[in-house]
Amino acid sequence: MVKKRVVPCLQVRSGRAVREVKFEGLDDPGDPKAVLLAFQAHGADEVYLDQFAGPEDDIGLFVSVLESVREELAIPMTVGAASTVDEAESWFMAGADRVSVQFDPPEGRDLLTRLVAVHGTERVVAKVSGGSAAKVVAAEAERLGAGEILLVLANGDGRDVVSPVCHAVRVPVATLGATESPQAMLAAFEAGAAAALAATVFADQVVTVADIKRRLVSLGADVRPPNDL
Amino acid sequence: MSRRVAVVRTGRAGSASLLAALRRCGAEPFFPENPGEVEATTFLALCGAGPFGQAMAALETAGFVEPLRTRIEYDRPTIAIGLGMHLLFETCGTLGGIAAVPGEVGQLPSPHIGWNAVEGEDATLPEGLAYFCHCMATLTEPDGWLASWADHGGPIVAAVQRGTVLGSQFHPELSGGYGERILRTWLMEWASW
Repeated sequence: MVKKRVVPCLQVRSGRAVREVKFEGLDDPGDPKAVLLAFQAHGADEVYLDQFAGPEDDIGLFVSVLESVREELAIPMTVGAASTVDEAESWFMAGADRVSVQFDPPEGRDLLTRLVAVHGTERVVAKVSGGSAAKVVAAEAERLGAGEILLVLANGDGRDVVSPVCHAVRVPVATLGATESPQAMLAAFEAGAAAALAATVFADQVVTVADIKRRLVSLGADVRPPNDL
Repeated sequence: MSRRVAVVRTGRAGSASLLAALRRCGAEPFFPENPGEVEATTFLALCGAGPFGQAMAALETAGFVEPLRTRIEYDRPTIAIGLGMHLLFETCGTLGGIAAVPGEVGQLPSPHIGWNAVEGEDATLPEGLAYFCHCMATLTEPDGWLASWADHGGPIVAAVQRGTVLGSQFHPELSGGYGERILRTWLMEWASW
């Protein structure tokens, strides 16, 4: 059966990581390419790049980061969250394997539908906010063709939020926002999540994806071993 | 020795990863411009993204369907990945494919996304963990081809191989060291068979 995925997530703004990582071995812990390749070397199953940009930011710079990373990254790269078809196209061309769409606002539904028609269900991820409506919203995203639900959790959200969404859809559910520790990831997996994204843990603590995976393995999670590459 | 590899794209997503992986293996990817090149070039990779019908229409418009079928018939080194592998089969629902491999492709009950074990008793591919990302699949070993398998709530075909032609449901270009070994083997060893 398919392994549970551990997916480090990096926010990028103006060609730099929004927050530097703390683990050792990097000359520049704010260089997105260096950080993402380190995630790969540590056994990440996929990387998720989050464009964190205001209107004044250079969008072209983000695309050039994607192109540069793609040349050396030998694992999947998901990029989000696209706000227009053109933006998603530019990310796909630059080397994104999948693109996420903020699904909650009405315009997100239109964008998702249009991207699925061209690129296929498996290439499009719907980012859905947790909360009481998450189950219904996730089912709607699946109906419109999303190939995965990225469920954004609030601090403290756990099985009670993840499990109903996983039961409401047949597509994989990934979690973001409250799965920053091996224990929280395991709880999400046990509630039915296929993947857990972690972002702030790498900026807050001296920890690697390999550390997280080793702990997950010891807890009995069915993940790809960190030394598989 | 650097090997030139013709890359036939049928959609806009996904090809950057394959081009980069081929370059990391020391190959020089290029986009073929005419049907003659598709038929005769030594190495060819077929990749794709999006709906099956849209991809077949793109191949038909370019005049690439017949040359692809011919090169596979003559066992020229060809790798078809993801949707590219689906296109090799005879049918997908009511749609016709290249028909270089007997059999059909159908919809899975749920998308198969992530790392899964590639296994097979008779297959020539090494066993290992590979990255899959698809909603359609084929479930039976085609006559005359060796199949590798993966488990997605039941067995699905992970790859089909005959000589130097490999159809890969998983993405070697996204499967880390395991995928790179497969691409290098295809480029360096099988070609000398």
